[in-house]
Amino acid sequence: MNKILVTNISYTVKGKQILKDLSFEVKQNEVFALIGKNGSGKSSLIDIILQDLKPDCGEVKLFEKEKFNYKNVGILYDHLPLISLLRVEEIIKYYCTVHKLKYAAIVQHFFEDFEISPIEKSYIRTLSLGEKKRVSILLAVMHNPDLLILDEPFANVDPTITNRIWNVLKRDGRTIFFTTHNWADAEKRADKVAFLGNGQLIAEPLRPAEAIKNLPAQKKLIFTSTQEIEQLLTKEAYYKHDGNIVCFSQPGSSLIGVIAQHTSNFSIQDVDLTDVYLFHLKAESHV
Amino acid sequence: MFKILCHSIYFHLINYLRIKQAVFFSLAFPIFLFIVFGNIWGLNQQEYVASLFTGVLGMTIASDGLFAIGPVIREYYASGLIKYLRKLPMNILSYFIGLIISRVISLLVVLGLLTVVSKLMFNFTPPSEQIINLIAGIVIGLFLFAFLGLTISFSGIKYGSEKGLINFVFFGVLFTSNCFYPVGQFNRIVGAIGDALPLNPILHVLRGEASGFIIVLWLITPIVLFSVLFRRIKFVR
Repeated sequence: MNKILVTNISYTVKGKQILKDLSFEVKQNEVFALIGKNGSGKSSLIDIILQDLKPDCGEVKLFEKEKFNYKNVGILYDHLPLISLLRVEEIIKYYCTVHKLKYAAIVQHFFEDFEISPIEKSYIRTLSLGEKKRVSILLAVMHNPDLLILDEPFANVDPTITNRIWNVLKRDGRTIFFTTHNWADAEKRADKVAFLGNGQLIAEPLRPAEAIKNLPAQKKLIFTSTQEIEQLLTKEAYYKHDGNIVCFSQPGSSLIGVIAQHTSNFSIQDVDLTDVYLFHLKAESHV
Repeated sequence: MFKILCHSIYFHLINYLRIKQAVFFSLAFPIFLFIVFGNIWGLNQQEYVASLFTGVLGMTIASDGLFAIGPVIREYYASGLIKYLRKLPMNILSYFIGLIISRVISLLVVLGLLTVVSKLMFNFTPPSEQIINLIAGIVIGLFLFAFLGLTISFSGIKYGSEKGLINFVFFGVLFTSNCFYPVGQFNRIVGAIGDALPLNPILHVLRGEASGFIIVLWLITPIVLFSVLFRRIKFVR
């Protein structure tokens, strides 16, 4: 069963194409990460999925329905559902009333993992960004929805408690669709990752390990980009980024020796999801 | 539904009570003006105190209606909070009705405070038969000025600039009205302008006088305008 089905979505603002013919599905119990740079259209896509924005064309189905209510969906937008002059407990209590939940039950099930008790009586305006994020994630998950749609949920959240919060989010095999530009987090948490670049999915959504495995090699050589060195790379797959060349290299390749003759300033690293994204995004022009 | 409505009223009331400016302008400032004007012109004139009593209340109704509802709802749109509210399993109207009822409660508190201060300082209390007029004036006036504030807030002007325009409207309406003195006796043209604007008809209701068709016009026009504007609202990123 698909929890989210996006079919041929395009979206334009003031003549600028934000999303182009985008299609993908998020299956039941799947944790799906959408990765992309700032301004790549991730938040617009979430707004379209949640029917806050109308796409130029295409359709979205949640729970296999075109018209749906959000009772079973937990949402976190790129802005937070908080009012600065209220206390944390006042907002949580209001959500309890709306969702017909007991505040004591929320305290018992969530406060420890989200570390809410120390800030329970605090005014929202006095909280740090990470604390506000924690409260907002709690508001999204407290009614135990089947599907979570989260826009950069862990930006600014203390990494020491993200594990515990993720365990709560994933409880009962919940389906989660989240956006991030924390590549390591996506690699660690997601069952499937998709990359958004120039308004399109730049590769088929895959398991993180599979996406990495599909790269030309599992090691990469990084060195400063010069025309002289670039001319040597006739057969190798590579991409250029931030003034460097990132070249995929098989273990035992002669490439290291060739590069070493021209520069001593290079490093060898394992490939990761960043390489998947940048390689696909920049492949056309540099490989 | 009823529980959510009650919680919404509480939610808005505590939020409002923590905005020092709002509390000052809707609670302390009207009482202050009542005491000052009452002491200058009303010490031996019960008739003036009676008029000032409803005038100050009318001014507060206009101020609360214009500033505490329209711009607040516009803020919900600008901050994106409205998107969360629309996704919650409740009728979003109960949230905004809660906002309006919280304002009515605040105005009833102002009415109570004015009555106490008036009795203590000027030995005047409004006659019991006027209570219905006062409550009707609060409800009708708040409704009218709330829609006027909403219409201005959603009129398409740049976010943040609407407060300047609402200030202009508020002071324009206030200074041409009969809140503090009968303006028409000093200048007929200003008096006529005041009679055509919405505050004088509300003062008529509060004072138990006939308010004519102008109040109907002011009740209908902002609602129609706001309905048209509201349909055109689009979320953009």
